[in-house]
Amino acid sequence: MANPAIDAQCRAHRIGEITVKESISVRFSHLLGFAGVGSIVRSEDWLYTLIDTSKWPQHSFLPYVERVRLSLGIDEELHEPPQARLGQNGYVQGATLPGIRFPSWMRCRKCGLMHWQWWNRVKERDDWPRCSDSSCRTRLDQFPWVMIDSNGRMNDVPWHWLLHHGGPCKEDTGNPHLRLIDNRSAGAKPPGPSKRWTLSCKRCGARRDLSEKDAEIDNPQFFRHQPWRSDNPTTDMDPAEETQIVDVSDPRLYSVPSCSALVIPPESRIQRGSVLDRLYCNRNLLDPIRKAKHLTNAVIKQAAHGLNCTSGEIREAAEEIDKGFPLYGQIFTPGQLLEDEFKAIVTPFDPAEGEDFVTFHRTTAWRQLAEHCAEQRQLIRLVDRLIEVKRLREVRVFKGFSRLGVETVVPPDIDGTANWLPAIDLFGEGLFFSLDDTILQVWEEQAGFAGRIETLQRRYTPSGLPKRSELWLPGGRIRPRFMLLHTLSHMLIRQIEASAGYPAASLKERLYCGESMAGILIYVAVPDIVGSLGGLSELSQPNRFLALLASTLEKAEWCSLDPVCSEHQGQGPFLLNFAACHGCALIPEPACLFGNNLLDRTFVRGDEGLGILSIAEQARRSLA
Amino acid sequence: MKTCIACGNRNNRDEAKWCYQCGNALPATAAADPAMVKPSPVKAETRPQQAVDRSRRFQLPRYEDLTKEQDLAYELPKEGRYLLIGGPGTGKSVIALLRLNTLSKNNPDFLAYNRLLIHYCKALSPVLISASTWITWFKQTFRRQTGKPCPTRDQMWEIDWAAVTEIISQIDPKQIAPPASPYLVIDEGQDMPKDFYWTLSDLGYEHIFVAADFNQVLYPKKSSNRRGLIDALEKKPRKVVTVDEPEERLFDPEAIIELHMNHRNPKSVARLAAHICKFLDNHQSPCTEFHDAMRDAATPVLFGYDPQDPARDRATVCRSIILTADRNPRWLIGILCFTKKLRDEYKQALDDALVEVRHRLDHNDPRIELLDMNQGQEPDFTQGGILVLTAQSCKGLEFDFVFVADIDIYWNNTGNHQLFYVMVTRAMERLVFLYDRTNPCPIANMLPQDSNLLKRDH
Repeated sequence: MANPAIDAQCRAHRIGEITVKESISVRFSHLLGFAGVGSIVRSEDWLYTLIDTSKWPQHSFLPYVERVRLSLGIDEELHEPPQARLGQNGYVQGATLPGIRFPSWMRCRKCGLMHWQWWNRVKERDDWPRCSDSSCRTRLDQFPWVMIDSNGRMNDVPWHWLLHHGGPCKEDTGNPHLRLIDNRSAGAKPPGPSKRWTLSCKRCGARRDLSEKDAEIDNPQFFRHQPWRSDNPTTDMDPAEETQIVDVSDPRLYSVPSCSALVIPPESRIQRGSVLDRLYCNRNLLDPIRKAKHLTNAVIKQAAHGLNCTSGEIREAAEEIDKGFPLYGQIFTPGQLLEDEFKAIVTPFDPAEGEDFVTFHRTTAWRQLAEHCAEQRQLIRLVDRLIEVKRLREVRVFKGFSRLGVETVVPPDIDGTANWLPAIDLFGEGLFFSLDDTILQVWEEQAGFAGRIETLQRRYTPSGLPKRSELWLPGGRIRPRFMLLHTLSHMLIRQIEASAGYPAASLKERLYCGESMAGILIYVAVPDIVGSLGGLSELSQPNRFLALLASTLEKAEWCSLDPVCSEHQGQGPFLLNFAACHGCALIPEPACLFGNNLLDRTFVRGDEGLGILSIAEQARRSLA
Repeated sequence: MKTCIACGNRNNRDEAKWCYQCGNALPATAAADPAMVKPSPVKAETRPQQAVDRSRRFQLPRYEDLTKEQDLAYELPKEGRYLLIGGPGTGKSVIALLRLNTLSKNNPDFLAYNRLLIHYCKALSPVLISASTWITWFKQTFRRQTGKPCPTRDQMWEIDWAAVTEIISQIDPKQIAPPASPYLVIDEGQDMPKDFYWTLSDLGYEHIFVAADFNQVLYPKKSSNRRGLIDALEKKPRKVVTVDEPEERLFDPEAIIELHMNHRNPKSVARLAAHICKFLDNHQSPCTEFHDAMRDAATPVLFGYDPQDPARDRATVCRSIILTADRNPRWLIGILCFTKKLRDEYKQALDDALVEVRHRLDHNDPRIELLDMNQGQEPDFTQGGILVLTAQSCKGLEFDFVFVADIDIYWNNTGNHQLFYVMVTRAMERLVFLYDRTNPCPIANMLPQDSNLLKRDH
């Protein structure tokens, strides 16, 4: 892995007298995404699940994220997960996150006998769990089915109960007696019913055919909250609306609502390394000062000794913090996040060295380009600001996860009692441009949009999306300019992939859509290393950007699947896309804010049949 | 005291039912401890013992006897905070005690690290002083001034400084009772933690006099270094400090006094101490100096005894120690042992040797006393005799003749170099290192090869 900082998850299990730990590397950005708490993580041979944050060994306070916290409406502190490194000798150094092997059931490849946590029976270090049937002795594999419900709980499949429903045959995990036969495997008898699997009991001879969807599990006694929790909170939880057995690779198993924000002035401008900064970042020294009703000598000296500075400097720093450093009483409300970021990006300032947010405005050079490229003047008119974001810091917060695609979010410590959430810093670069508001306002007025927007709105409201996308679509209202920006940003990312040297999966979009606000930030942000290669911000040079934009709009005209794609009346989950398919507007899922939903090329290229003008045409008319 | 029948271990608690070492049942009644009771005198074949005057000079020097640099320290104003730094034998404690004498009207408190040193200083001081170990004093003072018990860690005696700081920061300064006297004199101040000094200011102690030697640190993690101590004593926080400025400028440079001249040891011992001091490589405290005009005495000796050789074994050494004590009745002889077990062994060996050589003594039996800090003993320093004690408790004391027992059990590391520095500088006349020559002796490499500094008798 090229990434120097890794995180490792370990599960200690005993083999004979030795305790064996296996470590898996997980990138920080994945840890706060699809490989987070409660997800299924793969190692070379095993499946694991990551234990919740209350069991994490250590975590450090993430400084200067007050605005991010307030704007995202987070009350908890933000803490960074611990980092471990892989030493030269192959040992993991540093704190690792705990995980357990899950699912617990293992199935014999040959005879289908099911074994409960059979890895605990292995006596030798390099041995592999094998079938307990003395005539078989075939390798066992973890059987990749789990049971989840819409409350976010996950458990092993209660195979015994599925077959016996509480009959006289008692479960005995020490003596495997259940067989799960794959009816489609070679050598199996031709399937009677259409179901793929047959579950049978060696002891009592009970049989049952089943498939993944046959989950009539209404008995709540099988539900612990998560595999690593011993408590059963069923009594104080609402009954789950839906319970399902799914394969571990099913996308409904685990999803994480994206929650991130840029760090902008004043917090990005804080001079790092000063006494004030060091005191603010060191909670062990700051807490006694904050708690103290009177700044006594001992409290001050303790901090001065810890930071190796004088008591005078500590007093000054304590006063600054008391006055409200670093935000000094500025008030942020959750709805304001994007407006503030937009304002920060479009306001020029002189950055000092070491700042976390550095922009370079290219708008003047962009406008001057109009004299040389007469034929593209409409595009230059359309884009009213072009800004290179040389350096940016994004904070990504893990608020929790959900299962079965519902809105219920389980907090990262399961109970929601912790006073912190995991969060990471990502550093990178980006390219920002905004579209002329007067052109957009005229363009939005077109009557042709009404039908399309209405259909989208009707499909969008019952889907799970509105709550997650509240920040970008306040009130769940879809506007034509949003569809334009979103589709345009996707087309751009596909185009940039070819010219900037970044794969589309590493690029990300951030849309600024609102009243008199229409901007797109395409950026790359990675944890672990500071900054990136600069290939993306280079694209903001006016002549390169013009070529990029022109080719993007040209590409939007046609898709290789046309006319099927452009005439499609709804594709994707909840049919939230119109003219957008893998041939034209879809990008890798991590790059998109909305899970590749709400896309339609028609909003970019126009449609004569529907009476919709393309945005470029609108810009040309405004020139005239 | 009960002695275990099974393993012979002596159990200090009389009410104990089970031996804490081997777990066997103890006898119901306490038997007299053979080590603590002097063996009954052998009646036969002894010549009549003559009583002898064993009193030795044990008093503070008079003001007129002070040297120039000591004078400077002695004449510091009563008010203010001062740090007196000096090596062993430079008279730090003497100055501290004389200062107590001067301040006697202000009822100052005198603090030191351990009880033995407190007892020693009380015995030495011409006036009655209020002296206690710093930890006891702090717990009492904290309770009296704040009205709350002093928070401690799991081990009951160790103070939880984070909790102390928090309690004080929550109390209105006006509600903290003023100290009985704002004057404090602290000896061996390097052994108290920084937090202790920080808190003193909050409790209202304005005038603090600290005598310290950073070459004699007992527990490096729990004590203060020079920078920390200066920083802690600094009274008003200063705002402007440049990097180039020496750290001492934080504090009034006039308030730091260094003593350099060694007055306790003879030249032979002082030279050996200077040799060991080089190994400490500590720039916080000066090593003591010596000059040609100093009185000289016999060169220190490294003596290897041999348990297999009856003419050279430990019993022989003990017999000659007793004879030495008999020839020099006014001498206080200190036997410094690394462990408590070794200390008890030596005490036993000396008692046995006394029985054997009693017929050769010129005077009555010399006093052989075992010092245990935990027993709260108060030995008499005004009389000659033999004291057996652990190396850790010898700090601050002085003896005419010092035996450093069994140096083959010391590892050659910085902590032990410091301990050796302390032990060597206890000697006012003579110094002998003992070791078992059948064992390897790693720390002997640190001792000088030059026979003018140390005579080696293998």
